[in-house]
Amino acid sequence: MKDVPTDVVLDLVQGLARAPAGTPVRAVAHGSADLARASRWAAARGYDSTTGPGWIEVRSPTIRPGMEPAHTAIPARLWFYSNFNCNLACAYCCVRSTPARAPAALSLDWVATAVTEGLGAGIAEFFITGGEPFLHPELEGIVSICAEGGQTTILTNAMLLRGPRLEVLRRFPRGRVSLQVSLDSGTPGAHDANRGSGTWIRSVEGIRVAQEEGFRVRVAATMDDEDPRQGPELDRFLDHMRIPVADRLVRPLAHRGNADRGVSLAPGGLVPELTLTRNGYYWHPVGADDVDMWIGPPEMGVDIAMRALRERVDAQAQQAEAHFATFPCT
Amino acid sequence: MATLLVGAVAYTPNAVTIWEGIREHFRGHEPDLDFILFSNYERQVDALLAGTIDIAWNTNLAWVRTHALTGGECRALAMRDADVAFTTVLVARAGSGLRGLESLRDKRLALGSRDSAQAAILPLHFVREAGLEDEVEVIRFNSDVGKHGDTGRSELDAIRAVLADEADVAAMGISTWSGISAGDAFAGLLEPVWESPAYCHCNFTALPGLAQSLGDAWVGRLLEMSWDNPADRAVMELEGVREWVLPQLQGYDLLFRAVADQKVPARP
Repeated sequence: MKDVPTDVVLDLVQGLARAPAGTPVRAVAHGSADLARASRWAAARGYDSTTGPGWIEVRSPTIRPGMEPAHTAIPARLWFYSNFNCNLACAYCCVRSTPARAPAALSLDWVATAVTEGLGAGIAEFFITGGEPFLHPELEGIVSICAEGGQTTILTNAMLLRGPRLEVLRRFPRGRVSLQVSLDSGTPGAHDANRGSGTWIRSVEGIRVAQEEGFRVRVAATMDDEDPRQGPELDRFLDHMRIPVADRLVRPLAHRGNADRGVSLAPGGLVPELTLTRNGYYWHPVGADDVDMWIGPPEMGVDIAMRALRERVDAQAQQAEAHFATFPCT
Repeated sequence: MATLLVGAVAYTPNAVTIWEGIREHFRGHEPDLDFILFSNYERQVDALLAGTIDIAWNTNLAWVRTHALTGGECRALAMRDADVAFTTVLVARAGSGLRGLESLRDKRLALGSRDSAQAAILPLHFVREAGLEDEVEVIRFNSDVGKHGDTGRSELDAIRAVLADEADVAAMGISTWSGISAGDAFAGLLEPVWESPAYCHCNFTALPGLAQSLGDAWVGRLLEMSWDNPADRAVMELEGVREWVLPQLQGYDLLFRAVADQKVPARP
């Protein structure tokens, strides 16, 4: 058959049929009418959808609470702590990053090896966090390696997106690379209180820059329960910033790193998110500076690290019939 | 405690979730259930005949084949509500003017995988019954052979052929048409031109060696799965069932005739 045109709905149906429930599936849409048609279809099917320039991403409902299989799933994602130094010194930073902290940067070779191993172990998506990744002198290479392997997200405060770093951003492939920007509130108040005076407006400017450059921008907010107005205020602001609801992540303060309060998180009750730092593999990015989340040295490789995670998860589930909670990081 | 081993074909990555959920439903009940996933229905039928599994979650073609290979000695235990009155739909481009089987004369009919009852064997049977066999050009898309059309892939390929004007009509199961046309996603692009009489689709198949009391107890527990129970419902949604029901065997007559008429082998 010659040049069968793609159809966005048929492509979504086919992709969803091949994907585990809850896995996002993206399809190319040819024009706004196609996008509208696919969005209508997704809504009628009860699927969450997100659209961007020329594409739609659909996620079928995942398993409902109360019936998770005994075999707790480990997400097919790999996190990289590209570096631990940061242009900010946030009051609650879970890995104690500051401008003064040694970078402890991942090298290009390490990332390349881990991506190759990860793809062999079933990893499908990569996340690059820090510290502030845009301080890493080889970020462009790191992102390129990851993006060749799968969807890649850079977690950033977006305050450095100018000059040469903006040029680096511009060279990233839009369809493969997204940004997840930390923004805690809809006005400077709470955000600046935790992250430093004047940081909110610069992050907002960074979000706008990334959007104008055609990148998908998700926003992640860390919320303290002390101010109940924080959530609605942020939602109104993100509406204004045209951040789709599906691209907003709100999580509670984690009692880790610099934080003196918040939700207690321990490996025993936390769905793992395999994370590589210069010091080795960790259970989850939220504890990538803490020994209780350490899995093993970097030399163990992704495959063995994943197996070690699997064994620990299964053992804990069997011993304690633990209920695993999710601490969303993306 | 007795454990019955059920075979199912992994036509979707969700098969593990589905069957772990069903196994959970049986946990602590007599008989217990465990499962084996197969890559295709032929392996599963062979495993049933060899006694490797006690029960096979079969498509209608796998049922017909098992029936042939056992001389009719096999028995159906249960099916989904959706399996009782399954249909085949023929779909054409909107505005084609086609209506009914007769309008297929001199047209190109895109069929799904050759072992798909809904998208190949039965549509061809209906065309033959209408006396149009020599007047319809058949185009086949054997994209998921072995899965008996379960993945839906070959039906999507047939639809793409219609959209590309490489075929005039595509045959598919009603579940595929309902799925893709949700939200009027193909309004103005595609339209159904004919729907077949109802026939039965999947069933749980067992051999005579399975003790009646054990089979009855297993079916009893299966039928207790409830759409209103959140734990059950999650599994049932993935499996496409609102209610498990007892089999209605007359719904396979059409396929038995089609298989005989087309000389579809009991073992491919």
